[in-house]
Amino acid sequence: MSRYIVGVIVAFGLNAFVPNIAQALQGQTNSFITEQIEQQQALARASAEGEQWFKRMQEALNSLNYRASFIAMQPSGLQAYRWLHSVTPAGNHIEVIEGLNGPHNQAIRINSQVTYLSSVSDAYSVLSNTLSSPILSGLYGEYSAISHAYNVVAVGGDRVVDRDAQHLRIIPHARDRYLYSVWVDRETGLLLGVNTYLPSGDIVEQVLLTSIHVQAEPLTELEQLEQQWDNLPTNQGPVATPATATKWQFGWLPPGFRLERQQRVRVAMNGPVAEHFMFSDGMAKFSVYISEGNDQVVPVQYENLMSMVSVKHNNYAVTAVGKIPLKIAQQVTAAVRLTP
Amino acid sequence: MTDNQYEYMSALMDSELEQQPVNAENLNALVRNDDMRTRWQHYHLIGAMLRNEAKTAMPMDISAAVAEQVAAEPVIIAPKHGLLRKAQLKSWLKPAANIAIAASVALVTVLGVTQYQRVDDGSMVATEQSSRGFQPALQTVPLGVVGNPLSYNASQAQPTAAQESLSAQQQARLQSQVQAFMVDHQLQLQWHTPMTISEQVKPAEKEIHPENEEPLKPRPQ
Repeated sequence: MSRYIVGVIVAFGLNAFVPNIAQALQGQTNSFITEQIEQQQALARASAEGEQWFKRMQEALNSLNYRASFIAMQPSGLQAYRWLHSVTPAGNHIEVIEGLNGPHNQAIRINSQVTYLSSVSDAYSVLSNTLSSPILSGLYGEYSAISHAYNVVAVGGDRVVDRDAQHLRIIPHARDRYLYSVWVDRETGLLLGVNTYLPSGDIVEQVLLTSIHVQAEPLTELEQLEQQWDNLPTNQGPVATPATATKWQFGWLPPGFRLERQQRVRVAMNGPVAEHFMFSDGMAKFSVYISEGNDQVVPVQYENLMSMVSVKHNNYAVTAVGKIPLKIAQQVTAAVRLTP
Repeated sequence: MTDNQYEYMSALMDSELEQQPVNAENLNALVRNDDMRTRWQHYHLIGAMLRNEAKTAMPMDISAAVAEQVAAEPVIIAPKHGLLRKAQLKSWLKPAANIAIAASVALVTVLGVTQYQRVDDGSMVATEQSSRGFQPALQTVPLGVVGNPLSYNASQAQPTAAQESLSAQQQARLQSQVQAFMVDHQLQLQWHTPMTISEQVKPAEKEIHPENEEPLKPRPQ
């Protein structure tokens, strides 16, 4: 009996080695081609696996009842947050992200209404499917929203926050922008960490969960919140200021970026009146502001996790700002033209 | 105010009240009267001076400054774009509230990532002092930071060599411009609702993806 089992194991082991042996016996040219094919196959497998994991994470983030806390490391330092999510029996999706340092501030999302509460200012609500937090909104969204510009590749296992994690890399097709690493909990599918890298590979932002708790029933505090829904500030409704200027031409945009919206705004803090454009490739987003006929905007460049470039053309100024490398902002602003 | 009351206060300070009881009425009279309050502070200051406890650099009276600041505090700060009531919008646009707005916006968007490195070259200190000690929580990297990989430099119009000779006023202007656009971008990020896109804008791709907006679900009863 025992001899039989050993035999099976040996046969199994030999099987695994057979392709390698065969490959070693082939000529050099042949083996090069085989390697290429194998690499491509491996990449295709890793991408398919990555897609599955990404979809599983997106599903988990939007459907599970969880209570977590995380820290975010940014150029400015460390910040701590609490993160809650539940789907209530009434079918409402409730999510809360709360800063744990400094003055109280909270973002509450009930379905597609997001309310920002702060101890130092009045509360207000906006319509949005994701709340604005260090957790990139692209990670909550559909895979198809990022797949035109990024490959999601499963690169193996890891241990994060003492959990068995799947490491995914989100790699842009165009190597001119940030790259991301994401760790997904293999048991629940939840997000355990996100790193953002410069195209050079240097890390610029890091989010790491420090505790995570998943339960079958909705979190009580979120159910209480649901009861108080009527007390939350009501949405004033986005009063769309129609885009007035249709005369602007973007001579260059980084591949994969699409225009999300356009509107007329007065820039915060008594800034100039400007035509605002929001571009996104699913993960990264940047704004372009074009203001005319004033000298309020002076040429300036700023490079950090968030970059900014202002340039002056003849009688208008163009500013690009967002979590993108400086080079993209430079190229976009330089290529904006007034349609003749 | 009567001498009687001054005596009462003096005795209260020294814990030597024998004839008069410490009661609500007496204390009320003390607290509600400006003259009495000032005198109370002066007595304490004199006492501190005599005991050599007062530090000359110490602000002598914070309470007035605090009261003044609270009164001057802007009501609100948040995105414009019709998301707010008109009155709030007014205060948003009020130029005097500028610095306070910067600070509050930072707090509003702290869930985002609008936080900037601060490099202490003394240029921010002047701003803080001139704004009655209200310290902006949001600060950008000033110009001319040598050896900082996260460089901040004036482009075309301002040659690199001229950076360090920029006046404090120019620096402040650049800083507030960078701040303004970054804050505005943060506010725009909070608001995801896709809007009508003009056909004539010509980006590389015109395709728009509404972010699978789902209608609000029925509210619980």
